[in-house]
Amino acid sequence: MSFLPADASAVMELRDVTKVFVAGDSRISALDRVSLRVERGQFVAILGRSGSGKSTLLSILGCLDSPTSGEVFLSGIKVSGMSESELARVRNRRIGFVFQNFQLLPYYDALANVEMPLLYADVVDAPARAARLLRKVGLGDRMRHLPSQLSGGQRQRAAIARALANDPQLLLADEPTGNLDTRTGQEVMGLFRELHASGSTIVLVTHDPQIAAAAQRVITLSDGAVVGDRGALGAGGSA
Amino acid sequence: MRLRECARIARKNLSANKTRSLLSVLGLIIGIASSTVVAAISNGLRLAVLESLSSLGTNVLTIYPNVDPSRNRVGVIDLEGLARVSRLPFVEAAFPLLTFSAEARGDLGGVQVNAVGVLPRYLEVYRIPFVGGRSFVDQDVRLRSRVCLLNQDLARRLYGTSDPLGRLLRFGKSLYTVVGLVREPNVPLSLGRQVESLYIPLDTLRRQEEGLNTSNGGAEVWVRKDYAGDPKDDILSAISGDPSKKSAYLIVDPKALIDEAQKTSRKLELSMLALAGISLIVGGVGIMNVMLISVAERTREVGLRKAVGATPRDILTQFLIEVMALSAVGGCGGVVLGGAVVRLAPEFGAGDVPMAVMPSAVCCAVAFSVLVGVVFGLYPAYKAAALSPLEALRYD
Repeated sequence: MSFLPADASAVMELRDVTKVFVAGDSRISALDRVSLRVERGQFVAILGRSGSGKSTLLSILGCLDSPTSGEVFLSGIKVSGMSESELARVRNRRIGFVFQNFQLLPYYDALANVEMPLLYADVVDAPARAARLLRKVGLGDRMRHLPSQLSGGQRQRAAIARALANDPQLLLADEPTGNLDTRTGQEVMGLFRELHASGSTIVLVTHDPQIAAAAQRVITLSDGAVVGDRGALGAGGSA
Repeated sequence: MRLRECARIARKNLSANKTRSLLSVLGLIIGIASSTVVAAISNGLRLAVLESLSSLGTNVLTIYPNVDPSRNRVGVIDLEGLARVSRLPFVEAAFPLLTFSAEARGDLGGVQVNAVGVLPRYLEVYRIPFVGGRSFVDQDVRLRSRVCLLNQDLARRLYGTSDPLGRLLRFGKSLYTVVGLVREPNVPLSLGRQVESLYIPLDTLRRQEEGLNTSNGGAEVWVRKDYAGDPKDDILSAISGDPSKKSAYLIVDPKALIDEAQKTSRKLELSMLALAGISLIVGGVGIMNVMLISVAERTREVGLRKAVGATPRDILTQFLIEVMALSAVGGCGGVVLGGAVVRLAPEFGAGDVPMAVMPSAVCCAVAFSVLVGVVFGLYPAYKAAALSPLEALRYD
C-alpha cells in the first residue's frame, strides 16, 4: 500500500497489482505484485513468452479486467474499484484497443466500424470524424468496403482508426502484427511509430523481440513479474 | 445517437439472417394469426346478433300453452285472455299465431304451402322488404278481404315470369287476390322465425278456414321497444286472468334467448382466446430460444462493443430493440395471415361463419407481439449484457 498521491502525468500507473485466476482447485497467479508507470507520450512494448502474464497485464491496463489486489490509476483517477458501466465509459473515452485478430464487425463496412466508439460516446458528427480517421490511416478510398473486402493490413489499419476514434489517452495493442505477414507487419509498425511521433501514448504486447525493438521502452515479463525495463527515460532497472 | 446505432444494428442483423429471423418469429406469427381469426369470429358473431336484434321493430314475445304432463294434453291459448294482453299499456299488439297448410294454386300449378295470418304491421315489425304492390291496410282487416301477399319465390313458381299482382290465387277452399310481393329479409340470424311464403290477413284466414277459433300454435305479443321492464309477469297475469293458472303458459322472449346465446358464445370465445394465448406463449419461447443462440454466436461482437465503450445497458437496449423490431414485424405478418384466412374462408366452405376484423384488434395484435417479444427477449438480452468483455473477446 502506497501513501504517495497518484501522479496525473502518468497515463497509467499500477501499484502492487496481483491477478489470480481460480480454475477448479488450483489457483493460477497470472500477475504477481506488478508495479509500473507509463508516462505520457511513451511507446512501450511488453515482451514475454506465452504464459508470462502479458495478456493479463494488457487487459488490466485496458480496464477490461480488475486486479485481485492492488490499485490501478488512469491519469490519476483510480479505476480499480469502478463498476462495469463506469469502466465502459473509461474505455470509450480514454483507451483505444488494437487486437491481433482485428475484431472488426463483419457486417459493417469500414466506416461503420470506425463510427462505433463515436456513437457510444454520443458524438454528433460521427460519420465525418470516422471518415477523417480512415483517411489518416490511408484508407480514404476504402471506407465503404466490408472487412472481407480488405486485406489483412488494411483491416488492421481500420482497427487502428477505430481505436483512435475518441482521441484516447492510451493506445493498447495486443500482438497487432500476429496475423500479418512480415512486410505488412512492418507497415503497421510504421503507422504506430508515426502515431507515437505525433504524441500518442502506446503500449504494445508481443512475444517477438524484433517487434518490441520498435518501441522506445521494453518491459520484459516472466511468470507474472517484471524482470526487465529498458529504455524508459530516467527509469531504473535493466535486464 | 445510440438509438440510431441500435436501429442500424437491428436492421443489419435481421436482414443478414432473414431465414433465422423468420423461423424465430414463426410461432408468434401463427399465434397472432389464430388470435386474429378468433377475434374476427367473435366480433362477427357479435355484429350479427346486434343486427338481428335491431332488425326487429319491436320486441316480439311468443306465448305457448304449457304442455300439461299429467293430463297429456296440449293446452290452447284463450283468445279472451289474449285480448286482455293486447290492452296492456306496453303492448302494441297481441294476436294468435295462425298458420294453415294447404295447396296454393296459380297459373302454372300448385304447391303445398304454409300461409300465416298476419296483422298489417307484421311486415314492418319483421322488416320484411317489399318488392311490389301494397301491404295490408286496416280496411282489409275490417272487411276481411280475401287478399294475400306472396313471396317472390312462390310467385315465380305459381305465375312464372308474368306479374302476379292483381291475379287470383286459390288457397285451400278460397280464392284470394294477390296485392303485394315480398322477399326474404337480409338477416344473418333469423332467430328461429321461419319466413313464410304466403301472407293473409289474420281475420280473413280465421273466417275462411273454419274451426280456427282457437290458436293452433301460440300467440305473439309485440312489446314496445322502449319498454325497459320485464313484461313477462304482466302478460302472464293478463292472459290467464287467474294468478294460479300462470303456469299454464310459457313465454319465449327472444331477448332472453339472445342473452343466453351470447353467454355461451362468450364462454366459447374465452376458451378460444386462451388457446390463442397459449400459442402466443409458445411463439415467445421460440423467440427466446433463437435469441439465445444469436447471443451466443455474437459473443465476440458483444465483447468488442463493450471494449469500445458499450455499457451493459447499451447492450441490453440493443438486443431489446432487435427483438421488438422482430416481433413487431412478426405481429404484422400474423395479422396479414389471419386477415387472409378470414378473407378466404368463404372459398373453403366456411362462408356462413360471420367474421369481421376490426382495426383496433390489429393494433392490439401488433402491440401484443411487441410485448411478447420484450418479455421473452429479456432473458437473452440480459445474458448478453452481463457478459464479461474479456471472456467475450476470447470466445471462440
